[in-house]
Amino acid sequence: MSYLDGTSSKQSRDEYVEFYDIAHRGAVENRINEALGFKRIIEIGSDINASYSPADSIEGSIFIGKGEALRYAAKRQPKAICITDSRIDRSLIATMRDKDIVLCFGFNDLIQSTGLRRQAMLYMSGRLFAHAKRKGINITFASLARQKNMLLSYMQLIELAKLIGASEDHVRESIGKTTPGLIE
Amino acid sequence: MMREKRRYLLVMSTNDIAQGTEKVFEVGLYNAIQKEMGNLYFKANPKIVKYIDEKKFVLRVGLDGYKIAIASLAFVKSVNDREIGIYTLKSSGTIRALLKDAK
Repeated sequence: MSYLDGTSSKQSRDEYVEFYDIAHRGAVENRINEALGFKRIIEIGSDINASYSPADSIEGSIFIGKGEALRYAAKRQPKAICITDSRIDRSLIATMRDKDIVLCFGFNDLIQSTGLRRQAMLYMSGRLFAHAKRKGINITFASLARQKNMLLSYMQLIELAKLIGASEDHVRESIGKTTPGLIE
Repeated sequence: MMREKRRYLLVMSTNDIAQGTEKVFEVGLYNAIQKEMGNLYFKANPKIVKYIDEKKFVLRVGLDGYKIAIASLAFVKSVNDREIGIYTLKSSGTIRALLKDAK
């Protein structure tokens, strides 16, 4: 298959689509995004804010939390919510669908976990993903890395997302279109 | 008998691999991957075939297990008791195509 810019071959398929990741500011070094295959790594703290408590300024940010705090946060219109314990909260998901809030799966905690804890997180993330997809929520995936060695290349991000049940096309579309939409 | 089909992964580590310590690094990496892949390690059977520079190398894996290998490499955060990050940058069926734009 050939493209208008003269590139061809299957490898070009990945270069043609631009991917985005989200990571904390300390993790991102100069031009590491190019090496990892991302057009841009959105930095939490400079490109977009993150909130961790309902007392923070939530509107337009990514809210990272769990439990009851998520319901309060969802009412204040964040751009995205990351559910750290991957528990399904039906009323939260309904609110997210009504307010067009993106569900973000961050893999930093998953990578740092070990043993049975990791298996439990994979299982629960898979259940949450299936439920959210069924309800029509916009979903995206990100490393949410806090350190440089927790960053992921786009290939690794795609494969980890597939572990929780996403199809490759869905992941590519999510990290190509949904993620950059968070900073527009 | 059909030759086993393979996939070559261009991998970058966050730590330098010092000259003379490659064998030690390889053993440590294989152990770390096996810990993540468990009983499915044999499907990938990874082997480092070429070092590009102090941080990048080419990892050969079986075609059946290369996707699991990519996911497993994301979980490898320590090799030989040293913190490390492993990024899978590209994959290809031949080393030549893999290294075409690598350097």
